[in-house]
Amino acid sequence: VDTTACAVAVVGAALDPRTWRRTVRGEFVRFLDIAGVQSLTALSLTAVFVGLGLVAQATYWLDRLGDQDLVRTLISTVLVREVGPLVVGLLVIGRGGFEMLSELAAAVRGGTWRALQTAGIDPFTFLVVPRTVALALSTFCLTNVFIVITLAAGYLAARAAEVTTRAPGEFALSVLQSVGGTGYLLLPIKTLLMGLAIGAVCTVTALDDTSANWLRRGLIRSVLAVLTVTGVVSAVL
Amino acid sequence: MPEPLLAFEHVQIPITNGLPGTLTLDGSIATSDLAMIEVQEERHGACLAAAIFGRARPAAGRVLFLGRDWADLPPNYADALRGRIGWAPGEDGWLPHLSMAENICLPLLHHTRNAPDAVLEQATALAIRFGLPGLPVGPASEMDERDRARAAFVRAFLGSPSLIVLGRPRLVPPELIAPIANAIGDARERDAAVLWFVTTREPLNNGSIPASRRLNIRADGIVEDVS
Repeated sequence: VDTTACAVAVVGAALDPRTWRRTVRGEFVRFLDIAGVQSLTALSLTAVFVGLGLVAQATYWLDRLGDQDLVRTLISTVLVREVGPLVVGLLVIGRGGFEMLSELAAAVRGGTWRALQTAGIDPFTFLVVPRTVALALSTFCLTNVFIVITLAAGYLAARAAEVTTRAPGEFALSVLQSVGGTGYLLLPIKTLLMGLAIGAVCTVTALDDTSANWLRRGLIRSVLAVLTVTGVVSAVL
Repeated sequence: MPEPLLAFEHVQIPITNGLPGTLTLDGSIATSDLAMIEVQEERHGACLAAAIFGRARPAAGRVLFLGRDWADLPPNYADALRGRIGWAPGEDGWLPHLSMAENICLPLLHHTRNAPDAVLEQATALAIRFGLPGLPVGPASEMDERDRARAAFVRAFLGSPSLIVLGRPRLVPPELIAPIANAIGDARERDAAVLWFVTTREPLNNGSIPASRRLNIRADGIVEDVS
């Protein structure tokens, strides 16, 4: 309940233009760099490995089914709807989520949360909102990057292994078509909600969890939140 | 008669930090006042500071800043009003992920639309005035305690605050007394009031800081005017 209330409060504050003062925008840009840009290397490497794994899967299923179109549709759908958002969600927890949890906990336990209030700066607006919005946008953008790199790596490996003979443009077009309208709707909803959930979980943990192992608990809760979002959105759409 | 800058009307504030007790005070601070507040127990000082900033709800009475009762103000309005108060933060007041320069300029950049370059320029001038070589660009954790104290005073006087609260009881390096006295003089000339919490009588007895008011928080929590 606390996490949901926090997520709703973040959305409400993020939609209010008065929230986005230059100091808050500065925090947003800084955290977008941490959660998004600085995750690109790890994300790209992961995407290449997943792409190679997809080729192995394609080869296996081609041997069994023999229908190249069906296999391509199956794999790209699974990648876009499930694997991409889930892998990126977990990566975002490890980079941005960890950073956010550490910073917020330090602010709450170290006294800067109260110091900000004394200075007339709402810590929720200044610390929580920009970080959570940055996490949500990072998850969405990184998922798109992940899918593109995975498909590109998979295609190149498939060409090298002679699993496919299609031209790059034809391959890209067929993948885009196979995603379908629901896929294009699901991707932003799922990834934005994931980022929002991670931010809310980190905030609630930093504010409420006074136990010694708050960091471990916060990260575990974040993973559970990502899995819950994935499951619920996939079930609904 | 001009409206007082800060008024305490028969205020009683429960002290939540530590042993039970109540802070009792009645009086006001006018523009251009310099009130030295001698604190015997830090929890008393913290409680009074919280009341000044509208962050401690009185059990009785009202605390008014610029004629407005903190208790009646919506949160956004109260935050904007707190932006009119310059404040020297304690050791726990610096955000670790920001540089000291960003920490110093944060309240002014948050509450005003002053050009960042102008804010930096003013902060640099104040930093030099308080004995720093310039505006510190590293994190607060890499500065020693004395330089953090200097930075705290830079932050308190930055901008044109209506009220300046010089923190909770803190060690003030002796070489800082003169620059602080000068900065206080400048602030009072533009009708700002200054509240300075002190633990020792040294600054009170220093003729370079001509306090207009002297308050004492007694051990029983009653704030008395000993001017």
